[in-house]
Amino acid sequence: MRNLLSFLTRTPVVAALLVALGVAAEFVSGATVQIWSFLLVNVLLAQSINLLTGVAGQISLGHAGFLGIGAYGSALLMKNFGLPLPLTLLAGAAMGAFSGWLLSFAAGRVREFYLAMMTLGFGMIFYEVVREWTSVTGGMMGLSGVPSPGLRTLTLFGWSVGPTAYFQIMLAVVAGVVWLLRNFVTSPFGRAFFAIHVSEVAAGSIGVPRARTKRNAYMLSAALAGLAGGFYAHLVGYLGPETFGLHRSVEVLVMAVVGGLGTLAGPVLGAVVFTYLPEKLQIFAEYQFMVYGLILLLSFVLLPRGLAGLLLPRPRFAKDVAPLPAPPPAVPKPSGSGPLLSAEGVSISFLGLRALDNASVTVGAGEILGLVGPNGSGKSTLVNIISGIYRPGDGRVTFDGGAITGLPDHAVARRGALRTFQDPRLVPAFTVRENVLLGGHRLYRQNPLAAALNLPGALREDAAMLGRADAIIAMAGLSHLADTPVRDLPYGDQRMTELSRVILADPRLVMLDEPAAGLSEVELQRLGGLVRHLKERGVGVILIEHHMDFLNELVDRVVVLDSGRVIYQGGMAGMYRDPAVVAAYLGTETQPGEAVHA
Amino acid sequence: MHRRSVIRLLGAAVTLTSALALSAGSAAAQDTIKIGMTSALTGPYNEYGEGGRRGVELAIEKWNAKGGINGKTIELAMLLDDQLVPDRAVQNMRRLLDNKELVAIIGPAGSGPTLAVIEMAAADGRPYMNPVAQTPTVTYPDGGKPRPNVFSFALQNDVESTVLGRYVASQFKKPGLVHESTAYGVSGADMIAKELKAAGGAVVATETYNQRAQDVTAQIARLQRAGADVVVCVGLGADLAVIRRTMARLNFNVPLVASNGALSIPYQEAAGDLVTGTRGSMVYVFGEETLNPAAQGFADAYKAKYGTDRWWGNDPQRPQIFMSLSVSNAYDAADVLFEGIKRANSTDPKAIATAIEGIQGLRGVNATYSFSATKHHAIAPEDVAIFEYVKSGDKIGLTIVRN
Repeated sequence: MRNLLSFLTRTPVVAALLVALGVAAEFVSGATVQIWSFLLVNVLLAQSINLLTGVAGQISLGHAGFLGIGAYGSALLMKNFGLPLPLTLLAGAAMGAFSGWLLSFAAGRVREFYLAMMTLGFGMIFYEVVREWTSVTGGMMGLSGVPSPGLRTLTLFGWSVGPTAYFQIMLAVVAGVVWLLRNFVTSPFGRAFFAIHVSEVAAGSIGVPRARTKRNAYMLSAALAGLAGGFYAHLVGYLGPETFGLHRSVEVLVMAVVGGLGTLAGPVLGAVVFTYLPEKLQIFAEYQFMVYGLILLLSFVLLPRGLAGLLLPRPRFAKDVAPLPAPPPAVPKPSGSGPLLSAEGVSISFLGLRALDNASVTVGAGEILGLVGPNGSGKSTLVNIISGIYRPGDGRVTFDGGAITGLPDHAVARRGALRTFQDPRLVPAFTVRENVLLGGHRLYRQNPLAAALNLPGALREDAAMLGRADAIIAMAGLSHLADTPVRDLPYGDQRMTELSRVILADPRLVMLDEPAAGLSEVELQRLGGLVRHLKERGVGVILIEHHMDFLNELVDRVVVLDSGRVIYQGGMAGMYRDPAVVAAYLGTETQPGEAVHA
Repeated sequence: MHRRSVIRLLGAAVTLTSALALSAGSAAAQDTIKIGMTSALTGPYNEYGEGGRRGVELAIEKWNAKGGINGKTIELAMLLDDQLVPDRAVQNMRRLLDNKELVAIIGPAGSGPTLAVIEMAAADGRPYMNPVAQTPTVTYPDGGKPRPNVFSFALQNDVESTVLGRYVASQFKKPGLVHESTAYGVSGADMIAKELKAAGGAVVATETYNQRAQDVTAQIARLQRAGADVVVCVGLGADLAVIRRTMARLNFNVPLVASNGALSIPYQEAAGDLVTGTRGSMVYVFGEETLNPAAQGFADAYKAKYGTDRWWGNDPQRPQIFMSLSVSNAYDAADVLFEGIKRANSTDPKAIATAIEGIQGLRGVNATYSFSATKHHAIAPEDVAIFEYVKSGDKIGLTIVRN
């Protein structure tokens, strides 16, 4: 079934369908053209909420508000100031984007249920404003006399626009918008939205600024809803507040969810179903609400990934370009004298507990530093401070000749200090290759517009990044899994994927938090190979690890932490003889070759 | 062999059906007058929509029984359900207007969807009957001249408010006003206040609530503190019950005078015994001691076809007062439309509209109708009375209040 229908998503087939639809509009009845036009409004709306919720993971229960802002904005500008349709539509989208931008500041501070409540509040406020601001919106009486193709009152550059022409204009615009969305979602910016969706910390660790990314998601989504509102206003020719109530917001969400969140075909399918469903349900007469509810209930049970998940193949999250051959890795020259990274006298307390107490660590370019110590000794805390997740209470961190103390995580990552996590934090729906591509985020130079328009420069950059990613995937021994979604992969492969992601970022410093945990002997070999590869390229590596064998083969130096203090610095051999380390960590006298699990 | 015979059979069937359809189509174009309707046939607000459908069908049956219009049978050719959702009403109206065979349209059962479709219908120009939407702008867009093809059989807001305002001004000194926050509530309250002012009175306080609000304690308490000697309310029956119960709970013992929702079944059911003393404005036709002949004829026809159901009311002997706004309004709308077509002896939209404007003193169920080029609404203040729930013995009945 999926393969059978997959041809429907191919670009030439879609283009042919669109042209056929545009031509067919000339021959079908006015009512059919009108319901197709409503369908297009719903497609835009469903894409709008999909971008926000399905892609960027931010809930909205107030989308009818954005729809209404665009609708009233466009209608009033044309009715009161006589602006032409293209301008009012753009203005409606811009007003939507502006309100989304405003809302994003508040939304940036809350998550999940609170976010849902907050957006709900936004929708309610909009509804009340429309009802009460009678002089502008017409209040409860609504706004009549909006130029509309149905009434033959809509003109475009002096030509009267009829319902069929209006539908064709909408069709072209919606097709264009979906094309731009497809390009955007498969660009680094789209992948950044997904990264924020899955884990904000992981997104920050590869250089994705969470606040700005969320703000962009709100703005784009609200702009789309505003555009849908503009089209809606002229389609109907009348605006009443009842159209923009909570039920509309919920309906939009249901459309996208039942269609399939996170895909572009899903919202289209959902819009088709929910535009036609109410009409088809009329045969159930007074039972139709029950049938409607039943369909919703069953669709969530039977279609966990929506209609698109059932009918269509998995969407791509990277552009379909031929990879360019990877250039040989260049060894970067250190920009300053002295160590690549130095943390001096770093301290931090949590609720009075001193997690790090005046700890100092340095790493040179091309040096592998082992960071060991019992659980709770402050190893991960130190890495979290260096990578910008925590702000130290005291002390100073410099990297590559500049101070990075207290910089946010994405800014640290952008400078080339990257990390992995104890539990791999990947985007489950992405393939290995798409996850690895996420690592390139800090390197991309293309702008969002170039990405959405598939400009040659952006595509060339994508192809080059793809070539580098494939080379790294091959080095990590994951080539045969490159097109497998990571949620289907075992733990070891996920770890290797996360490490590959960091390598693609072309880092100067890499911090690995217990990378060997849960790996098989073969995988350990491969991991060791990758770490050595980094060393050869002059990358500094900090390795938190309990696996002494593994460390022994790799590290140049170890730092031992206990209760937040550095108790030993130097070679591995010396560590085993150090009485403080033996007492705090190794416990009994241990010979090299034994694993220690504290 | 099987296959060939199947194909032949299919071919024969197709030819036959298309021939039938063709002949039916051409016959229909000659012998029937087709009308279309969109209404809330299902959904939470189908009280008016389904009632309206029944009214229209009864009127069609009455006319067809006496030979149709100038020999042509009337047919409700398209009947669509909008569930009172504006977008659905717009889609339905487009389908109706696309059907060029339809001679006239009967519109949705509420102001929201009606305001959404009325401009389309006005631009189209075919006769449009408004059975329910109370907003005057449906018929009189700028307050002055009516839309040429739109005729309203609803109890218009302004008519209802005029009656309420005059009654309150004559009976009370310190009225407190409370209204729902919809177009209906806001414009109704404005007009009542205007009417009171014209009579030299003034409102002591004005409060609003949202439809289906469960708690109006604050609003009612403010009216009580303002010293209102009557609570005047513009709202729906279920909400009126909440208001009435709140008044009882606050021991606020002044009369409740309300719009037609006060006479609805939801109000009676939810307020129970508290309805006693409540007054409401309503088309009085079904409240008269003896029904007028047109009303009696309508009632008999309804009872024969549908029995004494929810629209009829509790008393099997006579229809409930509220029927004049849920069924007989649409019945009258269709009746006047057919009369207009008959007088025009044409299906030309302008000729029908002119013929309807020429109707004078036609006895309908709800009122005696007279239209003109400037008057397109059917129900006037004279057709509306104030009713009061009066308890006699165990039974609570409605009686017309005489000033």
